[in-house]
Amino acid sequence: MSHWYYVALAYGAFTLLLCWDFAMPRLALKKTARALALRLRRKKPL
Amino acid sequence: MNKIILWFNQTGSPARFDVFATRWAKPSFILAFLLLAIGIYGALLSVPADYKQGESFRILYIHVPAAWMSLSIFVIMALQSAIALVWRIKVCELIAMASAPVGAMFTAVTLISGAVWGKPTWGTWWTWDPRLTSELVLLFLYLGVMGLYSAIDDRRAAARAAGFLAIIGMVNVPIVHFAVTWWNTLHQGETIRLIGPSKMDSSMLWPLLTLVVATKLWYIGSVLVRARVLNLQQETQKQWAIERYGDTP
Repeated sequence: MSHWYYVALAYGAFTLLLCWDFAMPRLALKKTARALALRLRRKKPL
Repeated sequence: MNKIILWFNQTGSPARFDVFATRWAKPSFILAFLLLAIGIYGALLSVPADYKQGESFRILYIHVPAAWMSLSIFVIMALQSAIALVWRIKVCELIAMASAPVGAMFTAVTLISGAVWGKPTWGTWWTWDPRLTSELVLLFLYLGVMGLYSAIDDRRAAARAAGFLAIIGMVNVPIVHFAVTWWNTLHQGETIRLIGPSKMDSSMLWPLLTLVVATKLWYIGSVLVRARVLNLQQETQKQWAIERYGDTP
């Protein structure tokens, strides 16, 4: 088996983990900010 | 007051920290992406194959920077935790706790890339070598810090408990680093030195140095975004958070 298979496997795992690290905190930030905005909207008198 | 001390005091306020983190996370990531692209291009396409290891040596271009990050992030996390424990500085708690998932990610990259490199080179994915085992313990320590931080409801108490674990876990850092000199291991010794000549030829060194800088910038960007999240989660009742995030669609 060519060693390129292992190289692709390692770089694939590296890319996947970097994508996870990039996306997760952004999603969490959006979720927290949305929850805060929703709470304020609920509190506002109609 | 001294300008630097004044800056530290001001950035220590949660509202100011949010502005600071928002401002600097993006440029850090842009630079990190750019250097990652250049470094990976160099590692995969520009440098020649190693005369002994063949193509598989290209894995080391991500393995080595990730391994360095796994250790240095743990030191930063323990230092920030110690500062937070002594002076009760909230931003230090946030940075320490935000560092744990990034450190765990780099440790996972180190272990996975090491295993993938080990298969064609050593003939096995894993061996209970001191360097490999202590790096695995490092991953468990990161996961322990993250788990402890999420297990306690009071955020400040959780950060103190997890910070304490990070400080105790520092014992493992020199073990990982010196494992190759203290014990007779399968893992190779130092190839690249920050001070003094490296064993790697300079024509093959530049992608590695580029990726070392890229991973450091990545850590700065990631820790700033993660600290922003933790900061906002604790400050949702505060006026500054309501003013800044109250109209999020």
